[in-house]
Amino acid sequence: MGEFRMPSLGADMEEGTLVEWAVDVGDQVSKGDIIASVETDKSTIEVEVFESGTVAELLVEPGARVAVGTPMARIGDSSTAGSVGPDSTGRSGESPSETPPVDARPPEAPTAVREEQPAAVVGDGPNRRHASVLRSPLVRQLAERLQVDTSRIRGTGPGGSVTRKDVELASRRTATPATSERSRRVTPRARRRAAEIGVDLSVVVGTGVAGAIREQDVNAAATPRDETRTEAAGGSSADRMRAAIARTMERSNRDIPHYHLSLMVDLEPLDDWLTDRNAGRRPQERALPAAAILRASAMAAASVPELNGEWRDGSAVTSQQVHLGVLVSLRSGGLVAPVLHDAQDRSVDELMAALLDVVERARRGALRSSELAGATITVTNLGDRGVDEVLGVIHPPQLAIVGVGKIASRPMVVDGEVRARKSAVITLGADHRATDGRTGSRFLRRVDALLRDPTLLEPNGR
Amino acid sequence: MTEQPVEVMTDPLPAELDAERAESLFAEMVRIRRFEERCVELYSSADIRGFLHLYIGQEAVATGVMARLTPSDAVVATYRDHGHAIAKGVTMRAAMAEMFGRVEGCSRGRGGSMHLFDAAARVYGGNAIVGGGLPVAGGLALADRLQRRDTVTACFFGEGAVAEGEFHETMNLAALWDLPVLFCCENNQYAMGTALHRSEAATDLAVRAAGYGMAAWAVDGMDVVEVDRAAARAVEMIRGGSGPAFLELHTYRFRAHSMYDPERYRDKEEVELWKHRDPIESFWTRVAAAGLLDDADRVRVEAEVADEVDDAVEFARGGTLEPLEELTRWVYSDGSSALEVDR
Repeated sequence: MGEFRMPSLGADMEEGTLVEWAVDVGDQVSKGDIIASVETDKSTIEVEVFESGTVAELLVEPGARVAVGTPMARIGDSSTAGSVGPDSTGRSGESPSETPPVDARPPEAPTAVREEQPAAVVGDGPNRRHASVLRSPLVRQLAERLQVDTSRIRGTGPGGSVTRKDVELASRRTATPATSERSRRVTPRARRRAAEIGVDLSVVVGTGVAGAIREQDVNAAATPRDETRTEAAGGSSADRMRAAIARTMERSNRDIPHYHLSLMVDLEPLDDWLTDRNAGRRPQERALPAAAILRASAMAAASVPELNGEWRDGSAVTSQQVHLGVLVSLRSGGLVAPVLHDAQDRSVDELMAALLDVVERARRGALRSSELAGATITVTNLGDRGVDEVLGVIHPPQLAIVGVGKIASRPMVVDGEVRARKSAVITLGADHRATDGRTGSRFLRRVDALLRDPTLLEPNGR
Repeated sequence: MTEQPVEVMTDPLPAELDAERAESLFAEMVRIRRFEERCVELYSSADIRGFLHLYIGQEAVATGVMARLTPSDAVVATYRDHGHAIAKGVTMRAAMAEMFGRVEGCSRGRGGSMHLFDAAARVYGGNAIVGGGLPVAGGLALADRLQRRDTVTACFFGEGAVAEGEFHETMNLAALWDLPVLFCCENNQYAMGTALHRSEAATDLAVRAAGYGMAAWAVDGMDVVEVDRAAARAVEMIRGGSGPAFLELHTYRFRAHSMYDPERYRDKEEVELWKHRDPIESFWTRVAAAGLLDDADRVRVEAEVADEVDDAVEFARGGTLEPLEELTRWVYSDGSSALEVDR
């Protein structure tokens, strides 16, 4: 019985977080197979197993952070762990008189035929069929994807096991022109991205060649963790959402050195402007200050693109488009952040309509997954919860978050006199790796300028 | 675009490649591969610390070039130096003990993976600095030339070194002074994570080397037969006194740059494509098809190598750590002869 332990992935690594298992209990693995993804302080890395055998037990749950050297899985010796039985597809199904598995493995577990029992399996006659030993889950998946019947392959790996190369060669020999619908091709980038942001690939629709799932498909399918499909997955949705928020915030606080800036913005001009505009409109057509502030934020983000985008692989990747994440708190607790795509091109009225729409649907749980992905900057408005100032926490991998406080009449000095003015504190939390306060202040000053002269918010006003 | 592997090798094996030589080339590549595979495990289990850059995929280069060097020829390598050291005659025991940081290691455990030195084997080290070995090789060759020794210095470096000033300076001086250097540029396409075409305007490195006035050509570095052939030709020229030569060896590393990196700079498909050209497997296929070696030979070689690796690990584990009182030894002069080393 061997063990898979948390590997040392660098001399400075003391512990790592299991992101996901690449195997299940009962899977055959062979030395060199990818068994799990592990997140270190630097990156997420697929790690290999140095044992060959059957995965007998997974000792660590995804998400757990454990020290280097901690046993994470037990790998049973194929010859004793009882992973003997017919291939689940019945391809090599004559293996008969074996005693059933002795350890507590789920009944569907045996997926490979142990070649050490050749007499029972294949016989020595001229019509001998090769018992394909599929030790590796990856090979098995590859075979499935390439529609290769492994029972017809002569394995060249250890003990006659079928290797990845065998499958690929067999696939090329019998190259079928079209890829079957069942097959799920996933680009490595997409797989990585899915692992990073926690997307279940089985629900992703691929748009690549032959339906391959690409990175952008994963992004499109990304829900900020499990917020929108919780019931189906079981467990308390509130707990799951809390856990997802916890992970995201933990990551943000760990990885992102924030700086915060704030500016008190005189909203009296905006108030006047909106009052004029809304006069004569039906209530549902009226624009609220929130929409104008979203508009100003989107325009400011477009003019200070250093704050608009993602932190990726050690550098900021900025975006021309402003995809505005809007934090919506749910009555049941928790948050979702629907995204208003291409907000830089949307008018105040369009943003108002979009905002009402997503808030309403967010609270019904009716957001599409594509509406939850791809934000380049987020706005959080806690003003309607009565607080003066919001010092936001950035949603990774974004670069900044805008906070809007309560709009209230406050004493402000205007033309040398103290007057009661409608005002709000607008804040910016930004990633100090990507930008400095100078850049952040440009953003806030731009927001301020736009809100002081709201005509600039109109499409022709720029 | 990064380079794609050439799919098929159809060249017949050279007539002079007999079974013995075939086995020798094969076994050398297997030794390097198995040594490093064990290093991966030992690194994961934290027995080996520090950095570890694996040569897996590139074994044909060191094997093919070393096959044409004599024991008195010198080698200067990179931080990806296990293959060069082993192929040039550093014992697996000494190399593994060095990995473990033991006094019995070839650099007394002070160098680790990146600094395998062995004066007896004339291995003048790995070098942690990209391009750092080039001037060293130039100096060794200058000494050999001034002392009229008939030796060649093989200098291995990656294509990333071509961006370094030392590369250009050494190339120029070597050509100017007719130094007996065999420049072996192992073009594995990525300088850490930077594809060659992203950093260099002219990516045909042999052509650039020729611009310094030396013989230079490109070689399929995944084919040990080709490397062997090219090295034979180059070494013969250099020994004949025609000055330095340059080989651009197109190769590919199958594993991460260092022990682990997320490899976001290349697709797994690309790696898998290159693995079809695994220097060990493709050579095996050819020599087996030619009837030079058979399965029994392979089993025997693998068993011998496995024993050798096991022995090296056992040796390294049983080695001694340098006592603390020696911490500053050989850091500053203690007044005795600087050349006096108690090995």
